[in-house]
Amino acid sequence: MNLEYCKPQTLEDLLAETRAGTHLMAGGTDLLVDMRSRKKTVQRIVDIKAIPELRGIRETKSGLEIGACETFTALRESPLVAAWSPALRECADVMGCHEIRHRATLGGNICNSSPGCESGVVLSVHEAQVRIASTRGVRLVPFDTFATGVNRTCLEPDEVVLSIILPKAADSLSFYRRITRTAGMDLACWNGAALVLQPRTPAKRVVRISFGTVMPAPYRPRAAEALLSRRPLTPADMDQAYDLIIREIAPRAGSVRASPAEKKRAIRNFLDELLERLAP
Amino acid sequence: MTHRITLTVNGIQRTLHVEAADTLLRVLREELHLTGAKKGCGEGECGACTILMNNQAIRACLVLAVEADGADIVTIEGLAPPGEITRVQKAFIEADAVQCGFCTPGFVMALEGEMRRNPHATRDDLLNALGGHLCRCTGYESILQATDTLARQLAQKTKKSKK
Repeated sequence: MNLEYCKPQTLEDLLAETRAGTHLMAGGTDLLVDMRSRKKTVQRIVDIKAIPELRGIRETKSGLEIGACETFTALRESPLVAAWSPALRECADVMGCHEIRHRATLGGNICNSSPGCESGVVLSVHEAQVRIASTRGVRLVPFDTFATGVNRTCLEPDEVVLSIILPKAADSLSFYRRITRTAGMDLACWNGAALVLQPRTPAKRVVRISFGTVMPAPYRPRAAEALLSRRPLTPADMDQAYDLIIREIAPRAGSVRASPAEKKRAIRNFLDELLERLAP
Repeated sequence: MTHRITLTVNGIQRTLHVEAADTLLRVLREELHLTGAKKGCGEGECGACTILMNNQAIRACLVLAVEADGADIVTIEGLAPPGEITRVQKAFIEADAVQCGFCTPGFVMALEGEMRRNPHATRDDLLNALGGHLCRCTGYESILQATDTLARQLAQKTKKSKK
């Protein structure tokens, strides 16, 4: 195998090197596994870890901006992440394992776009924006349109993810849940995240929920969200929300992760926890 | 494509020519003959290839050798001067936490990495560092005993430093 590798030092050089046939590498924890299993034929790797513009976790006017090359260890240890998104913190705590978290990055996680992508459901409820650059300029894409399917994103072959922005959600609560076969290290067999704006004021409350592995990309059940928002909630509401969700999702039988029945049960438990968290 | 890389391995600076597709694990084991890091699964699942890169525990099977250009690498061979062992190794010996030994360097490096990164690591921090490590023979009980010993030592140190 004649693999080509380069590591540009500036954003300008990175954008010049990014084109069709290029695999961008951040932590490499998915890419190297896919190369080994021959799931991907890789001829050219561009290592993006040296670019300063892809680093940093900072508060900006538009929200919390996280550089694409920030690792899951950096996310789990960042006081800003803990303050802005308990759900992202919880997700960073359990993604992969210790050594994987030291290398794996938020940008890599969303570009790999696995159906159980750990951060996907969290970014989806935050209505995160993805900042994307190419020699043609910079554009902002809502996360829900960024992840288009299993291992597919809206990125053009010459584009690079610069950062991910979580918009402000001042008065909110959020959490992340998943099921795995083992506690130590596993793929998320199913995952879910919730973000509730103004959780203590039922009349103004906005509920956002997102589930992984039940559709090709993180999935927000909008009808159920509308039903659960702007009102006090009862167990009967949760039953109704569950029915709405089940009607829409299409978890695959024979998935490597969990059976459709297990995923549905997980959603049921998730809704019960949401009700408990919102109890007056 | 061949690349020339310079890295420090167990305190010694090395310049090597490697292929872009070479993993760091292959180069350590087959070029430098440092066979302490083991190739178990080759895809980041088992933890047997864990080493320290810039003082952080990583999986050498999931890092390309070219990515380690300029890095400071420590393998189990370089943890302590010849004839000496570290507190982690001592705890493993005392708890009899080794059976066939294949996974042991990975477990030891994971704990070393966490203790170097975080001198006030708690028992939970140490267990968290072991989350992605598989052992097929000890049943983990003795490894957990060794980890408990280390956690107690760290807690005592933390208490003293607070006084």
